[in-house]
Amino acid sequence: MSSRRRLEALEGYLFLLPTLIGFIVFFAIPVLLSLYYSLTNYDLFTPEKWVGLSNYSDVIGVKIVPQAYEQMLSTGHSWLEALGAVFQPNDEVFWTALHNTILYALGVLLLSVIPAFLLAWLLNSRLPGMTVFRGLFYIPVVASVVGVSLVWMWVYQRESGLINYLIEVPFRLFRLSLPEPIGWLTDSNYALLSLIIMTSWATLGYDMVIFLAALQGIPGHLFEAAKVDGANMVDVLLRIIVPMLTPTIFFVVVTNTIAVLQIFAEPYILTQGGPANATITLVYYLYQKGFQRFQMGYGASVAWITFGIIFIITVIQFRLSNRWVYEE
Amino acid sequence: MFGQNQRVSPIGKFIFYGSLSIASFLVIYPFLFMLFTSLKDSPEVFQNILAPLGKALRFDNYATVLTGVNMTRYMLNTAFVTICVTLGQIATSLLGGYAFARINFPGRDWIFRIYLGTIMIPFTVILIPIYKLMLLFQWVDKFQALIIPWLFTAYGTFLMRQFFISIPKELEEAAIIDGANRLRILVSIFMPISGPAIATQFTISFLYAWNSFIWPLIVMQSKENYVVTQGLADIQGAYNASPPIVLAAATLAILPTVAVFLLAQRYFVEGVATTGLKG
Repeated sequence: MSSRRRLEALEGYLFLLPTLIGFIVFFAIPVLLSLYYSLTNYDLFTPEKWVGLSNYSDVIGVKIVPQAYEQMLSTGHSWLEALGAVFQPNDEVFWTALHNTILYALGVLLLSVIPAFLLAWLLNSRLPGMTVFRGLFYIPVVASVVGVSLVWMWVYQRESGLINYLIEVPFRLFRLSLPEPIGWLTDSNYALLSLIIMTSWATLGYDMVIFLAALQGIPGHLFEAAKVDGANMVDVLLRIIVPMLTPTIFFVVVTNTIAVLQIFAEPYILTQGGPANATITLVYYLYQKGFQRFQMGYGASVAWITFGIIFIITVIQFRLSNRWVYEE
Repeated sequence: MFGQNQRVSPIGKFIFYGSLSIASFLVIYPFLFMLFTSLKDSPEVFQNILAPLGKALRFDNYATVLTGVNMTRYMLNTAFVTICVTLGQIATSLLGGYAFARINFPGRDWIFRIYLGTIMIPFTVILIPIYKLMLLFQWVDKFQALIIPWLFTAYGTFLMRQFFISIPKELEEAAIIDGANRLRILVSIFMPISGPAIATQFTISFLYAWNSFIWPLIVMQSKENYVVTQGLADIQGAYNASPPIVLAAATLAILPTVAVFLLAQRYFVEGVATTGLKG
């Protein structure tokens, strides 16, 4: 019996070996190395030196300069601006990247989750053609982000792009003088918004499919009871569907946020993080630091800080997911 | 919205299908625009960007992209890498998933827990050290770098384990008593009924491998080794005044994943729906 057990254990390890080797060499070791590099001044070319936590404090540290307050007030700035000047970040670009990434995530949530929810609600009908529509909405999800970005580049072009052309159509029709074209990707007021719109379009189908699956899981007797009680469609939406789907909504919010926290190709292709860092994201910043300026130790600490943010968001998701599991 | 035995008035149906059609047109329009533009010549694009067609269908844009700028090479490179990665991931996930689900060995459960815990760690965290590893192995600018590190997937292993656990034990008991070895059991008993799980895993691996960008961008340097996403970025740089060429290249890059999706829609959607619900 014990020899049979030993044989079984041997078989188990052999089966696990291919994935385990990959896991150790290309995941576990790199994770530990990354942690180590984030504590050094590693630059790829010279031997690294231990610098302790100084990368982290350089990335997220903020200097407090009380005298800046008086200075700003005396030069005629408002008290709010003066208060802002008191806190001087060590690495302004990191905070810009964090700020952009959070705005990016919020924008995508607003422009993707709500339309996706409404579409899923429409598609959750027993009428012909629903799978066809579902398939159409899902196509942007499977298309390469780089390819899709090139398409949107011509949608957003300032001089001859699709959107500016559409804006001009009514002006041409009534022979009015044409408005100044908008630099969707070159004006720092619009660039981030343009990326948000594109990413929302590309994630809409994904969110919709998750909502649709959750909608189909709502027990039918709830709808029948509502019908008996004479509830109308809006009642059903607000009193049954939305409450039953809150955990799913939360799940979609979390996965979207995590996905946006890792966005890279969109700013790389469309804006190179510009204009003036208006669209720089955390991962794009990591790429700049690590692979363009070869400050790899610094880049590694940016990566771990990004992970820290993802971790916090995921922990919150796990806490709240208990409710969801029971409802299934 | 509309339940099983609900009668829908013609006006209701009209509004329902009308709004769905408008929404899907808006979602699909960028692809139509891509296709239309790829079949025009440059002056026609700048004259009227909305017009679906130019004077003639310029298929020679595709010829230019396929022969003039190496797109054929990029597509073949990507296809090779994608096939290797997808098949490799399915194989390692089948083996690992089976071990986790069915074989008893010391340490199994805590190894599994470590696997689960790491699914959350994003790839960007290991970007820098894994590049260092490629330097050490001298794999920079070699296809090994695009294939070998990606032959395993904690997520896929987890997916397979979950699927195998749901298969009743009676199915393999007779084979075990007969002394059949585990590999035989996996191949001749488990794999034939794992079609849906393998298909789901295939769609995830395939999409990921074909569309990956940041890693090839870092690790592949000579043009003849570029994958399709890198090639696209390169073509955009070289032909930025000629949208038909750029968008013909984009069409070619997007076509394979969309085609596979249209053929296997069910598995794409099921993969997403199950991961979504299990959270």
